[in-house]
Amino acid sequence: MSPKAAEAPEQTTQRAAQKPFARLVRHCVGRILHGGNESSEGELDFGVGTMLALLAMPGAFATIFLLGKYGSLFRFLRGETKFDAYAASLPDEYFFIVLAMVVTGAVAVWKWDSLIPDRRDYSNLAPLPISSRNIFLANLTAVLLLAVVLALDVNAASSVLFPLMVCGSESSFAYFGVFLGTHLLSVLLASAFSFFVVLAILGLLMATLPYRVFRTCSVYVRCGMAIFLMAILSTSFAMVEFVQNLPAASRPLIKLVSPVWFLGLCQFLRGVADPALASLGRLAVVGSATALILALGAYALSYRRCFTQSAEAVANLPSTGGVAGLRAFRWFDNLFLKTPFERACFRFSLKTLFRSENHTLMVGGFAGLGIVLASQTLFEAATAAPTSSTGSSRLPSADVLSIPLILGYFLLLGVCFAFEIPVSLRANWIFRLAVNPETGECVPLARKIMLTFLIPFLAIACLPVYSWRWGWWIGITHTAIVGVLCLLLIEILLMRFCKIPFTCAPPAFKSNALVTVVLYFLGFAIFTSWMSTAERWALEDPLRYLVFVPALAGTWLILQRYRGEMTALDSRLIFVQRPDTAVEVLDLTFRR
Amino acid sequence: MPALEARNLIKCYTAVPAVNDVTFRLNPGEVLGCLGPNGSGKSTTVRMLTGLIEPTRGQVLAGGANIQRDLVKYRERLGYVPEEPELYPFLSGWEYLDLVGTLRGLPRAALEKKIDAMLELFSLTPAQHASIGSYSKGMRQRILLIAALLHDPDLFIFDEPLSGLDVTSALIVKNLIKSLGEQGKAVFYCSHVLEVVEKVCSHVMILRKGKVLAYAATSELQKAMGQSSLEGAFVHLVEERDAVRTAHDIIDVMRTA
Repeated sequence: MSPKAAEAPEQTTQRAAQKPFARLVRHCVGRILHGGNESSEGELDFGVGTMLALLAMPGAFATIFLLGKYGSLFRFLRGETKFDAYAASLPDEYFFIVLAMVVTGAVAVWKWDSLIPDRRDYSNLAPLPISSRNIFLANLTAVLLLAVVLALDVNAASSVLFPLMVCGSESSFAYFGVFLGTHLLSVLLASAFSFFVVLAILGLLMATLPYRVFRTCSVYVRCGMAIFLMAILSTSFAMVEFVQNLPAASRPLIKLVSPVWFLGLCQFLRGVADPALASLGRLAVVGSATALILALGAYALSYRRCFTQSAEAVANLPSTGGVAGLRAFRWFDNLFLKTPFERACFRFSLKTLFRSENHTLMVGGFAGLGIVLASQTLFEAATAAPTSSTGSSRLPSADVLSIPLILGYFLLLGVCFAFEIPVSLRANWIFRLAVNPETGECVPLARKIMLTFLIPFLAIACLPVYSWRWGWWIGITHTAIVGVLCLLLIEILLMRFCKIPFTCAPPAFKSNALVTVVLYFLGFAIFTSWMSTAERWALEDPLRYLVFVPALAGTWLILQRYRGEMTALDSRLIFVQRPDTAVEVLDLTFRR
Repeated sequence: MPALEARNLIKCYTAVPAVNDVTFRLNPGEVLGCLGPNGSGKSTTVRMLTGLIEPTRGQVLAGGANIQRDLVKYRERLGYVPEEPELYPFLSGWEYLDLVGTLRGLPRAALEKKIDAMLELFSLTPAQHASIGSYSKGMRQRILLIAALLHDPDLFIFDEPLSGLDVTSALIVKNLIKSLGEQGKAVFYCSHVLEVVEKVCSHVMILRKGKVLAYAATSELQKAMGQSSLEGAFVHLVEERDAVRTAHDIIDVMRTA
């Protein structure tokens, strides 16, 4: 082949990429991946490769963890001689369907603001000689492309590894082929369904609500969807039992659990579904088609409303709530916030937490995780048979006592994590200019913000529920114990905290990230499981509560002592957090 | 005693210094205009003057004391308008000014009155509770100007304060800067707009490639250069290229098929 002929395909591809429409699609893909809205500048943004790798990881890890279940050596060691791959893999098939829906849906929720072109796109693209229809089609192509890439990426690892693992001991390639094909089709369709449902909700909200109302409720809708997705994830632990007993225990509500549709489709295609499950499988096809049509329709409507009319919307500035909302802070000033620093930064922090979508989502995500784990614990406690009929069985179990601890742990952790994510980093110059870096008020400020979330939770949820169910004595003591434990948790979380929330650039990579995650898991176990067990033990004889006093006071003193030993340099206000260095240079001249 | 003084300021990011030996004095009642082409070191100088970055060598003195010794005290008497209107987009204009005023420790009741009055004077009252994210550049710039004025400082550093402003607002700000000088405040004014510098500044400093090319009273500089306007003096000092010739070259390239 001549060099000219060899170059031809490459040149054709390059020429195609340079065509206006192809270039526009590329631009739209880029803006979706890197965020389009102004507030996202300088915040969370991963490279495409990193993002795709991260999204593929849950499926890969979940499959690897199943090696013990499906590995023929492990089965031999367990003495399993008969193995029905379809029956054995049913719970895991359901889990992978749920995982596909949750991860894809979560990405769609994350990229919510970038899916539809906004005012910035309008100001950049509208003056160009490109028809509005072409801009619409290019963005739609980009969204569909993203949906396809996401579905393939999220399910790539599990779609290869899971069938290989399950069918490893089968000699027939056809068996493997059928298993792989049906699994792949089910998870891809589940992913697409999840993506298009989010897109349809976004489009419908944008098309029907006034822009101002849409912006206000957008963040809460996203939080609701994040919690819903996590709730779906938690069904993977309980739902399979219902599915396995479907004909006998036919429950009409099971039709509302969309992952079951796709499990039904998968089993139907394999020819192993009973009629009840097969009928649910048909819902998968109908549901996916409906979601796609709804998403496209809503997308077209919202595009027309929000993009083509965005020039007129410039004059219609969305309001933030006015002075009335601001004046609600006044009584806080008089009671709790004593210094100008605290007053200014407290307001700023609360407004950031409620108005910056990334931060609201972060706290909402953690709270959602807490709600899912708490409901699972409650479900387990409710279904567990009572061990005895003695007086102690009238007391709440350790599981029930752990529920507010679980919720408190995730709420505080979520707020603390959100503090670390900067908002509009380049705007922090005003804090650099106006705040004394030697101010030692960062920890009291962060503590007060966290208490603003904790106290209403204890007063409105924990105290009334436990008092109503188990009487005032248990209600008050349990709320007090939860309150004190949460206070200690706050002190631990803020041990080396020396920044104004949301104003500090994080380090590019934390070398101790893995250790931190392990510590959080360990902390979760100690905080929820151990503490609730100890409290359950104390409930049987109130005198045992006295043991808590020295233990908690001792922990408090240790924390205070540790903080007291921090140098002035360690507690100096920072705006850029540098990663821990491998080698520390000791500035011994400081001691002269 | 000068309100602000720079002594042999040097800032190096790489081997080539961004600012090289900048020295000047700004007395109360003076408005010092800082001019220079892109990359001349104006922004770096301003950032050193505000204490946002430390000079590699040299000192910035305020009231005779090195500002690095007590930056907090120095910043209490400083009003600063940065070049880029970087503001928190999710706050409203009112909320942002409330944040700045509270951080500066202004009494609550007085602060609220001041914010309302300033927003009215800068024609921002109708948009005061709209989020800054929806503001135009000019509106953001006016918010920054109010934020710099709120605590009645005696030293101002303005970096392109007219950027994005409409004609009326620009006129107001030009007169405001003049008036601040007349009130005995010291103003360091950085700009690209020669006509404005000529009109509002009592003194001019011209930077090029990080070095001070000229530093004198505006009228003296024009005289010394033998030019009738500041533009003539600036072109004489700074421009290496013939502006008319370059414009023609651009037209030629534009017409190339």
